Amino acid sequence: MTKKPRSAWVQIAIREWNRILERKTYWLLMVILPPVLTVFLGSIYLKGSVTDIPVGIVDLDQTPFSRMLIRAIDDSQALSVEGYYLSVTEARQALLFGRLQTIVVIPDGLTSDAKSGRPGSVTVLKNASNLLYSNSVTKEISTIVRTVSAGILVRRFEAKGQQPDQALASADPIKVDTHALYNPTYNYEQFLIPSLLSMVLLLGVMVVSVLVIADEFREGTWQEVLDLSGPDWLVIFSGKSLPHLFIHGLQAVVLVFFWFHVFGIHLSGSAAGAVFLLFLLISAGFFLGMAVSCWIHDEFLSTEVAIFFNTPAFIFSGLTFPLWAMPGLHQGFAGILPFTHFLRAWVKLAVMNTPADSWLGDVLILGGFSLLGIVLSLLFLYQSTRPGFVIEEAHPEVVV
Amino acid sequence: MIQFRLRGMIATAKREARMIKADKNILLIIILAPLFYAFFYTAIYYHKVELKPAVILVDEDHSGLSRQLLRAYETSQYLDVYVYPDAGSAQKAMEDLDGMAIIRIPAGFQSDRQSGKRVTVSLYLNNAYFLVSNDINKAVNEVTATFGAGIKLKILESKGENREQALAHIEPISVRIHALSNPSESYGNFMIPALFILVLHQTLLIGLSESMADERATRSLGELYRTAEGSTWALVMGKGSFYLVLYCAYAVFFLTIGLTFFNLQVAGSYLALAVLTVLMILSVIYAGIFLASFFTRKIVALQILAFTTYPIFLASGYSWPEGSMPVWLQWLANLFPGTPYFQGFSRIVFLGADLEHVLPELFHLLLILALGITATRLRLPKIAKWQSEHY
Repeated sequence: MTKKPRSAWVQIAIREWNRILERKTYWLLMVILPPVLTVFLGSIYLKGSVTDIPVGIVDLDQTPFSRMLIRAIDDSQALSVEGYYLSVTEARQALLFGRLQTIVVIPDGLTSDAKSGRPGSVTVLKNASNLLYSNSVTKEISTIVRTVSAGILVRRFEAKGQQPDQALASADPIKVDTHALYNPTYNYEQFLIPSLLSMVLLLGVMVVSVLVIADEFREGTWQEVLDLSGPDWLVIFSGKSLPHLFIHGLQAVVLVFFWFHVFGIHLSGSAAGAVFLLFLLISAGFFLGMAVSCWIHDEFLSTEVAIFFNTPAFIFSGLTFPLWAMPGLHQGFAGILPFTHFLRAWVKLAVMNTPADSWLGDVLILGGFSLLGIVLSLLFLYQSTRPGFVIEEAHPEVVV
Repeated sequence: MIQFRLRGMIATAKREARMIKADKNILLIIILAPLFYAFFYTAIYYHKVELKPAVILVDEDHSGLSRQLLRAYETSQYLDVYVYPDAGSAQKAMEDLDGMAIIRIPAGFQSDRQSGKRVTVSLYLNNAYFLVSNDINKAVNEVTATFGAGIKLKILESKGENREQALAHIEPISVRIHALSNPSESYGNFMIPALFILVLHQTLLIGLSESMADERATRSLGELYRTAEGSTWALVMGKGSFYLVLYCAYAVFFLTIGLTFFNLQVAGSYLALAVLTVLMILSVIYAGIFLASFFTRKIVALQILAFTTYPIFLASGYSWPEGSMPVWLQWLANLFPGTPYFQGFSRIVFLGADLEHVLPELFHLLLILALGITATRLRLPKIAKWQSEHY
């Protein structure tokens, strides 16, 4: 009995699968690099939040009250008293050597002023270049001093005959009750890791996808593809896409597994939603990359295009610096990057778990990028499969 | 001996210049990319701060006091307040990311206050974007504290204190915060200098690696060694000298004109910055040549090294403290020239550090450089020999 010949589509898909397996570069970019980067980048933020910011103390008051204040600073999880200095000049030297991030100066007479009803102040000199430190320092020390100050005022009101409740209401009449939604512990790992690793995944997808067709021209095997497919541009497109999408889809599942089970990322939305969005991002990246590959047959130039559009995607996404604060040109550039729309959808669907009507628009735009990639790929492929198409000269270097 | 090495180095440098001139891919990476990326990426932060983030306000009290508080929020230079009629529409707006926080003034706000009770304003922050929400939190707390101080003042006056006494008693101990650097506490001021350096670092690493990988791909390492008169030192320095001069020029341009363009300046010693930068460039040259010796094609160098941008920056300790990373990662990060460089760089640029303050970072960079020299001395002759035996 003769074996039924495989359809052209299956042959192209198997051929592509074998190409992926045979090439070290594909292995490196699709199998080795993603987990290595996932572990590397994920481990940076494993601790989640910044603790023990080094604080230097210049205590010119030297009283039990000033020591109580210092203990309160040291007890704060975010801060750690690293040293005591006799003067601000001495403490500033430690700051310049990188041993401190903040100096707290307790002035001489603070206690006696507080007792005699004169206002006093604690001075904080902070390195504000890094906002991570700077925000924590401001928040923690302000809270400590405000609490101590309110305590003094409460006692004064009590001395004037008020009940403790009344005294507290007089000392601190309006309280801000803060509810930090979607990331209550201000955890950097929760904040950055899913989006950062998604961006790395996208970069990987595009760097590989721009080679899918360009590599055939470099290696001089395009005629083989034409012969095997018919030539049929739809067969080439679908046969070549499927193995890549399968592998990248697996990457998305593995990535989500890593988030939940290795890094302990908590998402309000479902894991299925996360995988769905990642797959949409992968599709957008892959088909746009493939369109570049079908258009620019120079693999170096097509790789440069992929890197140009994807390396800055994270800083253009609006996660760390909002889009509305960027100049118009940059907002426009951010708008043509799939990652920007992925991130908006991601935040709404996976992080905030909002109803579908809030993220549907972003998901459709992301899907639109896939569609654009598909249409362009097919158009360019159609050109390259037409009779009379002149195949450029191959540049078969060492195949790795 | 020294004369031979110098002659070899100069010949290699000339050969490198000819090679770069003929290679449009490398030219693109080391000439066009640094200038374009440096200004295009940094210009994201042109406005430096996040301007006024949109905040949603729901006034459920509709009283004179709640309207006064609303106006206080509206007049804050840090908030852009949008009033919504009810909690439902406010929540929908936050879900659509039309606002990054909700301030809710509850019903009974004024009556509770008038009866001497402590009142509460609820603030719901969207911490999915918590750099923005941090700023909102700070601004809302400041405005509310100032508003509360006004109420305290009236209470103290009602207890028989005159205005002066009441003002003195309103806050027994206050905190005065002075920023020793980045006084506007802007994200832009923090990121712009680092982006200039990151662009330098990465385009140098990728451009030089491509050049070296090309030597392997075209099997010209033997010829390169002959040009360098057999000296690895002359080979690396000859190949690297072109990049050293070019990237020193970029560094001068970025750290003077570039920073001035964004109204930034180096607070510390230019000498310290120059020494640190030259050492970093040299370390990257050696690291690039060593790394590229593992790539057999130019494009592979580009494909792999493009992924190093974020890891090198994020592990450097510039944005996230090194001490908060796992120990193994700290050790690994300390092998990258970017790690000591960014740490010394931030203290020079922002805090005004001098040469003596960054000596540990200088020694660290020297160690990385020594490691790079040793690694290239061991690696390059081996692959050159292998090539000459096989081709």
